[in-house]
Amino acid sequence: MSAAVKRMEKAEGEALLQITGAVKTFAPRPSLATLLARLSGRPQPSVRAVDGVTLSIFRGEIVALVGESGSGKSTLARIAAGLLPLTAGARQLGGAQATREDAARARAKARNRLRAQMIFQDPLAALNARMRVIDVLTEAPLVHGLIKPAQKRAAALEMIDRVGLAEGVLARFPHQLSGGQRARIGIARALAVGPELLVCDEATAALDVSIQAQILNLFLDLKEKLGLTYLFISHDLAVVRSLADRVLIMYLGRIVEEAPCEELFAAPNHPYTRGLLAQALTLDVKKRVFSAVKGEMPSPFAPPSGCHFHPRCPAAMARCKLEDPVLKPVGPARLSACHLNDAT
Amino acid sequence: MTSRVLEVAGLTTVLKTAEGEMRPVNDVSFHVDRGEILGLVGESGCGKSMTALSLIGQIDAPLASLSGRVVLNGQDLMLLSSHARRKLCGDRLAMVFQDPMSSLNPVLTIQTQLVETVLAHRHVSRARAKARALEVLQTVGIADAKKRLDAYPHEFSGGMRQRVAIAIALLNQPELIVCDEPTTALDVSIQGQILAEMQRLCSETGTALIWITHDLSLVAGLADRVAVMYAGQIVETGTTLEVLEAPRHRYTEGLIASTPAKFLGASRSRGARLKPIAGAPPSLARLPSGCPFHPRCAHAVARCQSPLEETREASGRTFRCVNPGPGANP
Repeated sequence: MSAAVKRMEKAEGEALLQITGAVKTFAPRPSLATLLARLSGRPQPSVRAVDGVTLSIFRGEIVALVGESGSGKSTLARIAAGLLPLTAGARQLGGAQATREDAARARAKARNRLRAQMIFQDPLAALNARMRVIDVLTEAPLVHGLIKPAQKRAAALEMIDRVGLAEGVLARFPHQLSGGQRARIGIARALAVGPELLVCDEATAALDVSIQAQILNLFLDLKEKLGLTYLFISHDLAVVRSLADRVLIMYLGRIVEEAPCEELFAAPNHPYTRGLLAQALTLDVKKRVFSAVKGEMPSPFAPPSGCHFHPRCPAAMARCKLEDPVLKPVGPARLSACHLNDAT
Repeated sequence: MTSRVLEVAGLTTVLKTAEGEMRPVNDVSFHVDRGEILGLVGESGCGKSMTALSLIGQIDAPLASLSGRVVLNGQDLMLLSSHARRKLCGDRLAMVFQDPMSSLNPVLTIQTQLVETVLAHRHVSRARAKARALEVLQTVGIADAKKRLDAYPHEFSGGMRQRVAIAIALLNQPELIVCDEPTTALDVSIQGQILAEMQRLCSETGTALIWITHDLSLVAGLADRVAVMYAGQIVETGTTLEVLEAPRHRYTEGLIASTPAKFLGASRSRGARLKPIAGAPPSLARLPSGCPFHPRCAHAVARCQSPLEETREASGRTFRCVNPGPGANP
């Protein structure tokens, strides 16, 4: 892993976000029975939503994280945005260690936190229904002292101008806006504190196609204008292809493949990636066969042994059941976790 | 000539709301033949779900007033009493909804729900009904169907639940199934499995299918013909190939240019961007005059603001546009 990453670091400078060996486990709220079982020393059921993920995002890059529901991509997004503490591993944002910080430097810590902001899937749920747009946008900058109360209106005007909205929306409540306008407000709010990294969790999944295209172009405009870096989480391969520089494929808590966007779509390495690409719907009318990846994603409470994908994999071997494949280089700037790559 | 299963002509649904009269379904005409899959495409609020509910008879007075003709194998459903119409649902007509968790009853086993659907329409013994239930569950690809009959909806995964909903629709061998975005909530790998299943069922049983979706790329591989809806009207119909490769209506053209899926398959040149349609769809209560799309249309001319007729080509292709795209052979 490190060899390829080092090569990339040399090419593009220092990583803005570096996540190393990240593990996040969740345990269900214990019932009386499980509490008793815990007393008797039996192990507790828990989900490793993120299972030893290492990734780095470089300045000015759009990295897409692709996975199906239950793959742990939203958990990883929240870790990347600094919203969830890690069970194990480290998250580092542009040089400053964010996991262990001096309590006395709480203010610096808060400032550091502002550098990564998140945009959520459902903008209606993510906006406070009782706050007017102007208050939604200026609350965080006011709290953090980035603007003075007297500048509130001028600052808000600048923010909505950046996302292509007119002054009229400032006095409205979220329910009075259309879906596209809400998405723009969600973006303007994230930008209000001047972040360097935007983490978008299925940010366009709830939008209509014509509106989605507007928002995707807005992301690209903002990247050019403000020099932003994106971690873009999506299940939609078409959206990923239209936007990303680099793609990470996630399956059941682990990254199984990592590659530059064009190369991944041209020549996927991991069998899961190949299956996903075969599923992706295109506008090609002549393609009339839906070739499916067999079966469903297993329960994350009891992930399969060895390679998590082996029960669904068309090329599974005996070794796949026993041994965890390691994510290792399979080409320049390309990583894949599959035993097939050793077989040659 | 192929046999026509459904012919919809001039279907209009008028809702009276506080904001005034709305026509979520406005003079809608289309047809579906035996074994054919029609993709009904449009964005949210364009009236595609209301069209489905209107034609299966789930929207009625006093909520709405309906007019037009809905002819199922020669019988005009709009002339039937609401009781007679209701009896058709689940028998000759069936519908599959987007969210199976809310269309299945959470407190009954799926066996109960399947058997009850058979017994409501057929005079057969419970044992026969159960045998039929088992048969359709196997048809839609539920492994170990015999054991799963006694399970409750929450014991199934999302994809399996949708298969159960499809199984219920298939029970009485309907002439027409209307599917309202049944795979939107599912993962791509599960969606692929269900699409393959539906294609096979339609060609094997000859059931006609209306598949409602917002996703042009889904329609591309699945449907034989496509109808595109905008603001309550069908703005363009034609074979999938015609509509996707050579759209005539400017809205269809814009929709295709906005779809990220066009970057899949073809190699994308670096920095290529989508071309979105400007603005947002109009409110149904305040529709622009003439073509409802003209305020967003880059090709609008003065005539677009006056009422317009549907153009029908010899091939059966229709569109409502006075300044249409070039089509196949300009």
